[in-house]
Amino acid sequence: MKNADQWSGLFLSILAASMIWASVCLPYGSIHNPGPGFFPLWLGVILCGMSIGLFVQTTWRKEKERTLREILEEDVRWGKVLLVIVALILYGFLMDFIGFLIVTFLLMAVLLRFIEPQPWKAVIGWALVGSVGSYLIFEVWMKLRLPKGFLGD
Amino acid sequence: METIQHLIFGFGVTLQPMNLLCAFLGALMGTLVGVLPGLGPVGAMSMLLPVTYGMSPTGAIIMLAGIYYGAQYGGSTTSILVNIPGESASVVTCLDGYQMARKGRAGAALGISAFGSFIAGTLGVVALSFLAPPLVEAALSFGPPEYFALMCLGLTVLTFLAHGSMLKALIMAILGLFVGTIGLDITTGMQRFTFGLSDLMEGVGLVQVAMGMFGIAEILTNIEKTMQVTVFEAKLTGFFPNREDWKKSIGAIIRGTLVGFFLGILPGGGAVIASFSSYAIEKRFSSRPELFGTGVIEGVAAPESANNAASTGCFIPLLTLGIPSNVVMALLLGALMIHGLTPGPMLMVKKPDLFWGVICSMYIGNVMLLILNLPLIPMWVRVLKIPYRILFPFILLFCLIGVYTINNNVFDIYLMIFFGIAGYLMRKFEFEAAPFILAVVLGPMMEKACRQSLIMSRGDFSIFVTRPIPAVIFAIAAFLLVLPMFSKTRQEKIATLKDD
Repeated sequence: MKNADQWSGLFLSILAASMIWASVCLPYGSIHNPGPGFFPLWLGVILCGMSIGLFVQTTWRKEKERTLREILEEDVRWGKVLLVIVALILYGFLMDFIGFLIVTFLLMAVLLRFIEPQPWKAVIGWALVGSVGSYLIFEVWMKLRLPKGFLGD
Repeated sequence: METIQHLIFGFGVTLQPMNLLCAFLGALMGTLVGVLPGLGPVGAMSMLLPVTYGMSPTGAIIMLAGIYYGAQYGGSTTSILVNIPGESASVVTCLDGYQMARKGRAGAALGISAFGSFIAGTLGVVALSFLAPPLVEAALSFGPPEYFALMCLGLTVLTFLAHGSMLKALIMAILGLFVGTIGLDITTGMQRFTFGLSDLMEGVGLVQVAMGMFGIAEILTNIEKTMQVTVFEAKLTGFFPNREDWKKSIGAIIRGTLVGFFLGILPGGGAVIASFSSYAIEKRFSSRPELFGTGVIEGVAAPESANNAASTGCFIPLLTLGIPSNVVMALLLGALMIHGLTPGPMLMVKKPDLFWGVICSMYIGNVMLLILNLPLIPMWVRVLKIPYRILFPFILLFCLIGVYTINNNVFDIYLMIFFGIAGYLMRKFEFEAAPFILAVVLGPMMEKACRQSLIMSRGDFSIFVTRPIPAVIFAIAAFLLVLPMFSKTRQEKIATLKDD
């Protein structure tokens, strides 16, 4: 199990198995009048076959394939990728509590300061442009309702 | 003659000030996202979808369509000047375009791509307006088995054209179909795979998936490496190609238009594959193929014409059958449905103002783009100089706002992040997102068609092969599925594209 595609095949087979299991719990109906479980069940079965196929195909293939280790040890700034993901999740989480303006300012500041570090002046400036600018465009001009948080109501 | 009358009616719709403004905004924004690397038409259209809620359906579709064909124009600018394709349909333009720029002929390259795009776009629209009505006639007689077959073919073609392993692309398509089943069952109203979450009852939205996989995943991929973009400081003078240039490229433009238009109509086809194919064809028919890649003008003219013709051709299956042939058309389908319209053959009959208005807006949009592009190229070059480190937080912000304002629901943000992470990992493991996304859209339609067909035939699967149209379509699909196993053509095709 060195090959990246073998891992994909394995993961997808497990996913397909759970899809089949979840679909079996739904009424299958009959072939004359298929029920809610009919279509997903067959999708699960096809996916399962294909994933096993992928696994077998890559195991048998002679050429050198990309290994999982190669993907993990690539010259990738995993920390930064993770930081963006966490920042986005926190954005969604905090939006309703502290309101659009503040949370957007914070998000922009974090992204500008910690991914490709900018001088603080630029960080504050662009974060203000982003948060106030988008507030004016979306809330004031287009009248889309953005959460106000504790500032509002 | 009837078509002429329809077109006059359509121009009446398009020339209303509000619709004209929509076409202009769409074309302008399209060019902008085409210029900006790391933000393509899919991302931009999904970001702007919520903005169109307040507009008339016609205006909304005119604007979104403008973004698509506008991006084809803008994409060439970055390919030629910085060797970075602004979006994927312009990848091949880099090969000869950038070389031309290095030889001091950036102006001519930009000029021919703008003129080529204009000619191709306009011819494409003319063909669209004359082909659509007879196709609508034909489509009106289609039943569920025909639709099911067509959608299967669309997905098969898309996976056939995918980069790398066709098996992996098929896996993505099946996964997408499965994600499409999440939500309430269409006939029984039973909850499927919602994990008891009321947020999932309506199903997984296309915009959330598209923005995650194209917007968020793209940014995650870009920030993982240190970002460096250097703009080639070419002196930009003389956008008008000379007589010699025209003589060399006019044939390429015509061939590119034909190839592009037909690949655009094809289910699963679109601008990306059109530009690749036309470049390959041009190289094969050229009297001097060895010079391709060193800055020949045909190498710019052909793909740039093809991608514009294709982006027009794509509208045919969407407007006549209601079947999107690629991800961009899927987004337009989503937009139509959000505005309460059912895409399909009845669209032309029931909403002629939208149908003909959108088609005519493309004539006008193409003129606007030609005027917009040539004089504004210096401005677009300046836009290119905005560093990505400043740009990417803004792109993320627009994705977040866009997805939130669909339902004013934070859950959609999480859903987008989820698909962003999934899309990022898929890139790492070399799985393509396009078949997945198209399948998410087609999923519910396919399931409905499949179940209706089986009810029609009382459970007899032979309905898919005894009716003539589905039989032919399934035969083509089966051929495409089997082909890669028995021949090396596909591998060869991919290999030549990569070498090119």
